[in-house]
Amino acid sequence: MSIAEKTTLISANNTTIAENEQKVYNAGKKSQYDEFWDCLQYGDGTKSNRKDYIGVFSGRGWNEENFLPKYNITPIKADHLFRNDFEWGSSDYNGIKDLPTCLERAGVALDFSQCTSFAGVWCFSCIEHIGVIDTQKSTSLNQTFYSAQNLHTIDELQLKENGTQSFGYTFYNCTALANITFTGKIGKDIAFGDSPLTLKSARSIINALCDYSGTDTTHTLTLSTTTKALLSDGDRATITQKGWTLA
Amino acid sequence: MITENINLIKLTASDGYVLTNDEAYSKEVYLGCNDKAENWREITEAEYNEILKQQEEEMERENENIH
Repeated sequence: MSIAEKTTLISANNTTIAENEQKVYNAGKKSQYDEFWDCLQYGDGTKSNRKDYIGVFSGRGWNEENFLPKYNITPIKADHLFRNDFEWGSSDYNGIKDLPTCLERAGVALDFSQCTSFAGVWCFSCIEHIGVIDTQKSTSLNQTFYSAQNLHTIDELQLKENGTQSFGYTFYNCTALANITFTGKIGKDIAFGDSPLTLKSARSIINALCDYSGTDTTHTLTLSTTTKALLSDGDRATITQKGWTLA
Repeated sequence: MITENINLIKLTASDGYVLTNDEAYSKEVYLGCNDKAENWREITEAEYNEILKQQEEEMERENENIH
């Protein structure tokens, strides 16, 4: 028996209630949506007051249907934010894959500009496409994309201009990563040994390398065999003349 | 027109070996202007695979602790 049928028996205003059944349902759904996201994001009706987002969207429960934040996400801490422990080989897993599209659909932004920790943000996730990531407040990007094996594109990774950030296993096992654009400076060892980066992406990396010529500092840039084969002698010379060993 | 002499020092591992400076690993390496061949040594592929395995196991232990 529908709500309308039930209310016909008990209410003098049954026609009005029946006509408004859908509106009542939608209002109830919206109320639950608001309550859930106000709670999760510490919302006050106009904005989220939550800054600690450690592991908030991690796990297999999140997917592109239910990831509908109400407020902009502005973390100060984002460790393991989207970590998923995705079971590779499982074809039925339906996690968050295209983050820019999800955010656009929800009508919110994900602003990392105040974030100080990025450890394992997309570790083991099935993410495929990430937009702009401002990491300038963070000192390291250790394991940020560790084993994100479906990740093919990072629109822009914004680094500090002083080249002091560390990259421990940042792109380890990112076996699909082809497209990435860097701004800022890479000043410490960095490895893309598992990633089939395009030449354009490789040159973005080369351009971002700190110039250590005239010093006795040496660092290592590791690229995959596939990507190294795309480089010209000029590219290799630029890398080595900047004081970087190409491995 | 610009003419340049580009000097690249390339180290290539022998068959069955991998080059390492104890931080990075590769079959071939182009030395940076501040790097030296003495900083790199050859290890066998078996040793390299063992190192990789140990690193992955360490990562798994670290990641399990997070849960």
